[in-house]
Formats: sequence, structure tokens, C-alpha cells
Amino acid sequence: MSVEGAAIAPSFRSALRVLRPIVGDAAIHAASTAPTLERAQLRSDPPSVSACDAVEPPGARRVAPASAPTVAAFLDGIQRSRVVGHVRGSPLVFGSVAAVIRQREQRRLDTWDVPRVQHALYASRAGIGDDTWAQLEASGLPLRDVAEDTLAEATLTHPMAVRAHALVQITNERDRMERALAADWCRREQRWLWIDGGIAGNAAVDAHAPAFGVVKSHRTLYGTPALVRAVLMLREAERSPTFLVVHRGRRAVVSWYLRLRETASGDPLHGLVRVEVAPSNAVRDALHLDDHTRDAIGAQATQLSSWILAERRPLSLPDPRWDTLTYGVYACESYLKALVGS
Amino acid sequence: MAFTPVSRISKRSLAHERLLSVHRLSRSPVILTPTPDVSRDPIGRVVATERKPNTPHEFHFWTALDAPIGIGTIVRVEGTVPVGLVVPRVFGVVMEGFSYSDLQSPLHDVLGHDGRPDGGAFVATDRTEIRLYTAHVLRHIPEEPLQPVPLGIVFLADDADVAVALRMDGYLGGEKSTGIPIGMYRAGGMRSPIYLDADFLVGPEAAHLNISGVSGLATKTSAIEWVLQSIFAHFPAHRGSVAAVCFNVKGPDLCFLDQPGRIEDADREIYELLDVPAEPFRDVKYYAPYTPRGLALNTLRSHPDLLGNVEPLTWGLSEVLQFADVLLNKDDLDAKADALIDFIRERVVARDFEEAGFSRVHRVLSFADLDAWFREVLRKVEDSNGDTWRTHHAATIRKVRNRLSNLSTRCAGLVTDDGAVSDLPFGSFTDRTVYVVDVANTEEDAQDLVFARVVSKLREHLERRDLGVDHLIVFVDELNKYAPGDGPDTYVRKMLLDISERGRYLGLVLFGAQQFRSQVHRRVVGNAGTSMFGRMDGDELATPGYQVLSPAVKARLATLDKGQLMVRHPHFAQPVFVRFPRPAVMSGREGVERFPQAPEPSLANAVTRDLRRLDDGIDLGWVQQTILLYDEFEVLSARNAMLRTRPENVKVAFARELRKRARPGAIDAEAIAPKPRSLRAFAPDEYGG
Repeated sequence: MSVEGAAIAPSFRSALRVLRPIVGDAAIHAASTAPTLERAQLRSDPPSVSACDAVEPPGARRVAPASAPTVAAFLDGIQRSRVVGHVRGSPLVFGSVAAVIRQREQRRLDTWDVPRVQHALYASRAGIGDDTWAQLEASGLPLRDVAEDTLAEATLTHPMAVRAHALVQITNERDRMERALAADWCRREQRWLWIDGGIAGNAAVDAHAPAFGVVKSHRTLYGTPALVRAVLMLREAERSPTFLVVHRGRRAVVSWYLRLRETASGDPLHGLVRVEVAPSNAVRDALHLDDHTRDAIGAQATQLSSWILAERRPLSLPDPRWDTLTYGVYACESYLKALVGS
Repeated sequence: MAFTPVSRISKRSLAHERLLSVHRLSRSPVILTPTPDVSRDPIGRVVATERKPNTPHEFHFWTALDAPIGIGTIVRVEGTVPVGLVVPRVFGVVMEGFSYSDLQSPLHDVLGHDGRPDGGAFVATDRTEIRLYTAHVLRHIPEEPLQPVPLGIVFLADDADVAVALRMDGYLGGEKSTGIPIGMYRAGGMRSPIYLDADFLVGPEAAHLNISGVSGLATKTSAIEWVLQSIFAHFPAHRGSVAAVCFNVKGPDLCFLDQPGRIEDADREIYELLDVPAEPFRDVKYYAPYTPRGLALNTLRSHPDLLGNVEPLTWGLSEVLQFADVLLNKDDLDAKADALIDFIRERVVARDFEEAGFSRVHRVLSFADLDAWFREVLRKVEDSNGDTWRTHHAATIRKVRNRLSNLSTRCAGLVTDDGAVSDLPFGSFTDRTVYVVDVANTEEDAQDLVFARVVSKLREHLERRDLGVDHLIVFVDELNKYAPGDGPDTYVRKMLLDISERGRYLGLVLFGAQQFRSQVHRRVVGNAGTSMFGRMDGDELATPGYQVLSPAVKARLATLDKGQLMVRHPHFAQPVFVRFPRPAVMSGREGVERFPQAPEPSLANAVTRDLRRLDDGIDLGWVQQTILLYDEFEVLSARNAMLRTRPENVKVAFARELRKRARPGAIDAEAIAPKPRSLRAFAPDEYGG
């Protein structure tokens, strides 16, 4: 079920109405007040430092904020998933994903094109049985079988495994939706787009695309221990040297760290973001770059950093991530929460 | 069906034409097919939350930041779900507004600007901001079932919407239209005429108008002048004739109603929209008492160019005695004194009074006659060595004599010793005429007497249906003073209460004004069907009478500009803000500059000026010669007689009157003739204390 446009019905509640005869009143009541799986899920990735290829020589670079905003729009997506009941001990997970681009006109943010919203019910067909599956199909709710590809029979019996796999599918769905929206922008616009998160997995955001990604979380820090220490010591409005990040199965991206703001408490990650931008096709690895290309990459990093620094205000308080969450992305999240609920 | 304002104005304004369809519109049900106004864009959407739900009487909506919405704006809500095959349509007026951003704490903004209000840092994006309004429902269509306001689309109300929202469609249009334009409602570039229902303004359904506002902004008097102009232009012929009596109690406010004033182009537009002629009142008559000396009328309208329609207001004994209660306080007027006054009123005044022991038959027509009568009574009491006369104790007689004889002194200029009467034309009032009674420079006692007598006479004539008009509007300013909520229960207050409560049945309508509505008697303001509010004082707005108003409405009332009013009317479910034009009459301030008050003339000049109004051939030299050998009192009495009787040959009649008044009469003879008196010890409290 894909819904486009501004007037979108509260699909979570309509789904609950459909599911009521199947899972019962008590389950529906519990589902309507239960926290989302995203909130319940704890990150299990351990913090790590990952090697990368330096493009520029070591040393912090001071960046002057741009005097006028150049970024024209912001892209972000959200996902919400809740267990809405159990059938034969197997969970039913209702997932919603949405993405939007908010463009800036006359200093105010407005929706570019239309927001993308999708709702679906995630369940293990083997777990709930064919009869219930058919009943759910007949209700008109879009259904996704969480086990249709990978899960083994034994795993299917564990409810947490079903939930976790549903969550992965929902996350993948959101990534896909954000990539598609970014691709639309890059195909139709010349203005610069700020994408919340990395861009490594999005082939549409190439070297010619007017878009860059900003990563706020730092479970993995890139560089040698010495370089990482230098990053953690960056002062406000300083950027690190650029480097190439090569993800497995994805294309390489040019990246660098930028300190948006400092804190008196000395938290080394406070106000620290990592910017990603697509390199030209000529850039395969950092070892074979000529000085001209290195200089060009450095110049682009400085320019984009100056644009990013210009977006430090207004603050996105009261969001706890306000030190790294720019107001444009915060506005995207607020907009999407209004569409699919908190 | 055509809306035909019945007036002396022949043209029909575009505004009226636009309203022709309103009557039909509100009476035809809206069946299933919502009629979105494609000519205009929606300006908002109704919202409701569990914490802030909509009710049948109140709803909330948000708008874009640049929407032309403010406190007092009238909006229309188009529902989306039919109820009983009818798509609901709701009209409301904005009563409160809210604006907020996504900030949770002002501290966050301080942080964002580094604590520097001048900006601190460059801000690329404006915060998300909302304009949220609360509106009170004016009308539901259909009226039943009465449901909470639906989550519909909000539009700015146009002329037709305004008419339906305020239920003006019930009295506009058709042969029997009773609409009286009161002002212009303005919102979003649109200007809509607002009408009051004459049946609810002048009676008989409801009546009376009360206006409040701070002094000095020319709102109250201007508004009353404008409303009278509008009533005179639009009062329907099928409702009869109407006139107004205005008491000018301060300054020159009402002294130049017949003179054209300066009006701006913006005012002229409102006159055109509302189809009221931008011209001064055509028929105005002024009445004022004399100055205490009696040489000139005690009014600021004393310039020679303006005296053509100014008449003296003077009363004699019989006119005053009927209202002795007004001038005598409770200490004066105990039961014994009251009985004697009643006796004098019933048995003595204007009758031949004959009694054994009296030197002659008394016919009491003036205060001088009355004093002579008292002298006779007291002499008889003393001669009889008794204490009473016809059951009235001598002390009471002396007390009443003292108080009544004093009246002509206390109200000098208004009350004449010689009984001369010059009064309002009770019985021959004419349609669309303003009668201004100027008591601005008169003593307070005399003002009270004028109010009491004039209004009582109006009431008497209206009860007998012989006043000359069917409806009479009485304008009284400073109701704080004349009908206070607390203080002594005066005759004037009782009279104003009586008009408020029973006047509408007679066609006697009170238009009252005051600065502090909260200090006026509740029954006076409560009986006013229509209320208007100009700029209000903050302290006044904090009184309990204004609790029904939202803080935003109060704030707007406290900052209203000249020419703006908030109007409450029985047909309007909620108060409405309107703009009215500057009255097309000369303001008091301008009037006194252009027509300065004439200095008090000499006796000869005063008589010449007054007699020349009757006979152009009279000159100063003739008057000086004629009055040379007479006292001032005799000359003024003769002049008053001329003004009262208006003889054919003024010169002859004036000379004859002078001679007649100079002859010693019975009273004078009594005064100088020695009378034997018996010796008697005086009581310790001879005058009753």
C-alpha cells in the first residue's frame, strides 16, 4: 500500500481495525500503546576504528562558514514498526516507512514533489499459517513474508527472530525509498541536496549529482589511530583531511570529518559529523591520485563544509541530537512524524 | 424580492444589490453538493485535538502565516461529510489567536543566537511557525442537528457570508426590510456592510443602544451622530416616523449638527457603501436656557449666524412644581412637605384660590404669585394664634416656602419668576428632526430638572400618541453620572430606568453613552438591545462585565482606533468589529473655532437681537429709547413675552408689555401695605430645620 500526497490516512489505526477480528481486542489495545521496535531495539554494533585511504595530508583545516545558504533542500526518511499481535505465537509487525525532501524557499521549508509513504504488514507465512495469511491478504493490507528468502525453519519459530528480520526488511525498505527520492532529485534538480546519512549505497548520487550526505553517528571512526585522535581534537569549524571510504559491496566515497560546534564538557564526538560526497569516476583509490585531483577534492570539501557550517542555526533543540542534527533534517523528521506518527 | 431602503435617498448602493441574493441563499437548503467557492482559495483548515476539541460553539483552525485573518474576522467552514444529506456549513468569528514555533523552550532560541538578540549568527532557515485561531460560532447551516464544528476547510467570509453569518438575511431584502447600516466590516481586502435591525434598535422587539469608550477619542458622540444619520436615512417608512432629542451635557459636542464637517475620502467610501448621505442633519432645533442674568442663551451656539434655529428653554412655576421632587432632596421632602406641595399643585397653582381671611383671590401663575400666597397663608396662621393652616403646620409651610422660592434662584435662566414658558414643541415634533437641548453650561440641579421634565413630557405624549412622531430617540451622554450603579436613587435615574424597561413599548428609545459601562446601573445597560464599544480602558475591561470576552478581544478593544467599534446586537451571536465614518457634521472643536461664542451683550443689544428675529425693522436705537425708563427685570419679561407670543406688530406689543409690567400690581401693593400682626412667640425651629 503506497500512499502519496499530503492527505494521508492514519494507516496504523486502520490496520488495527482490520486486524481486530484476527488478533483480538486485548492485543489491539496493547499494540496501540506499545513502543516501536526501533525504540526497543538496542544497537549491538561494537564501536570500531576502520582504516581508510587518506586523500589529503594530515592536519586540521579551518573553514569559514558561508555567508549565504547554498543548500537548497534536505532529505530524510523515517520508519516505524510495531508488533500488532500474534498468531500461533508468531508476531505480526506493522511497518511504516516514509521519506521526504523539504526545500527551502524564502527561508521557509516546503515539501518538494510529494512525500513517499508506505505501510505494510510483516509476518512469517509459515509461522501464522496459510489460513490466516489468506485472511490477511483478503483484508487488503499489503503483506510481506519475512521468511521468504533466508530464514530457516527452526529460526522461524523464535518470535524475536521474526521481529528482527521484519525490522531489517523495514529498514531496507526505508533505505530504498530514500535512495529513490534522492535519485529523483538528482535527475531533476541542479540545486544542492543535503542527505541525512551516508550516500555510499546510492548509485544515483554520483560525482555530477548536486547532493552530499552527512553522517551523524560514529560507531565506526575512519583513519589510523593517530588520524582519529586528530579528528577527536578538531576545534569548532575545522575539518579533517579528506579520505576515501570503501564499503564492502559499495562504491568508494570521499569523506571527511567536520566539527560543527564544541562543548565545554570536552565530549570529543559533540558536534562532529562526517560528510560523504561521490568522487569522480577517475578516483579509484587514493594511492594513484595526482596533486591536482587531491587539491580539487580538498577544495570541494572546504566549500561543502562552509555550506554545512552555515546550517548550524537555528538549533534543532529539543532533539537530543541537536549538536549534529541540522534544522532542515529535523524539519523533515517533524514532517514525516506528522504523516506516520511518532 | 428587492431590498429597498425606505428613506429620502433614492439610489440603491451596490452593497444592497449584493445582498439581494442573500435572503434567498440562506433559505435554500444545501443538498449534498458542497459549493466550494472557486473564486477564492481556502485560508485555513479546522483542527481539533483531544485536549482542544471543537464544540458546537467554538472551533480552532490554522492558517498560512500571511493569511488575512485577525481578531474579529468572520470565516466560513465548509464541512466535508454530509449530515442528513446536507453538507454542514458553519460561520464563525475569530476571537483568539495563537502563534508558536517548534521551540520547546525560549532558552533554545537564546542558545541558537549565542545569547545575542541582534542575531549573533547567520540563520539560514526560519523556524516552523503556526498561526492557530479560535473562533466562536455565529451560525450553523443547517441549524439542526447542532453538532460540533466539522474538520472542514476555512474560507474568508464574503458579503453574502457575512449577511448569513450575522443573520442579517432575516431583515434585509424584501418590501419590509428593516436594515439600518451601522458600519463596514473589513477583512482580507473585502468590505461588507453591516446592518442592524430597526425593530431591535428602535423597537418594538428590543430597543435602546448603549455605547462605551474612553473619553477624548471622539468615538462615543461621533458614533451616536453617525447612527442617527443612518437611522434617519434608512428607517423604514412602514415603521413610522422618528426623531431624536439629544441632551448636550458637556462642551460644544452637539452644537453644530446642522453644519457640514470635514470627511476624508475613506469616510466617503463608507458613506457610499452604506448608502447614507454624507451631509449634516437637515432639520435641527436647539433649545437652551438663558444665562442667569437672562441677556443671552446659555449655549456655545450663540454666534449670530447660527441663532436662527436656537430657541430659549424657560419654564414657569407650574412646569417646575410638577417636578419639585427632582430639586428637593430627601431632607427637604418629608411626608409633611410632600403633602403641602401636592396641595399647592392641585388646589393653588393656576386656579382661583379664595379663603376667608385672605385679602384677595389668589391666582398663582408664577413664583412671585406663589410667594404672595405664602405670605397670606402665614399671616393667617399668625393672626389666628395657631400653629396650623388646613392641617399643615406653620413650620412645614415656612420650610416649603423657603425651598420652593429658592428654585428660581437655583435654576436661574431656566426657571422664570414671571412664569414665562418657552418649551420644546411637544405635540408637533417632526419626522427626522433632531432636537438638541443644550444644558452643558447649566447648573447640575437645572440639568436634572431639564432631563426629568423633558423626558416625562415625551413619555406622556408618546403614551397619548400625540407627540408628532411615532418613535423618539433620547440621547443621554455621561450615563455614569445620571444613572449610576450605586449612589442615591435620584429622580433622573428612576426616569432612565423607566425608559430602559418600558420605553420600547411607547417608541421612546434611549441611546446612552458613558466611559465606564460597569458603573452604570445594570438595568439600564442590560436593557440596551444593542451595545457598542469603542476603545476601552484596561481597568474597565478587567471588571466582571467583560469576562465573557477573550483576552484577545479585550486587547483589541483596548487599542481600537478612531472610527472602530465592537457591536453587539440581538441578531449577532457574537460581537462584530466594524468601522464607521466620521460624521458629516462639524465637530464641536471646529465649530467653536469657526463660530466663536458671542460675548454676553448689553441689555439693549440682547433685546434688539431677540426682537429682530421677529421684526427686521427693529434697531438698537429704538430699543434703547423704549427701555430707557424700565428696570432690567421688566424689560426681560417683556422680551420673553414677545418671543412667546410672536405678535404681528412687535414694536407696539413690546411697548405695551413694558407699560403693563411697570404698573404696580396686587402683589406689589400687598408688599408695601402695612398689615396688623399679632404678637406671638416663635417656635425654636421655625423653618423646620
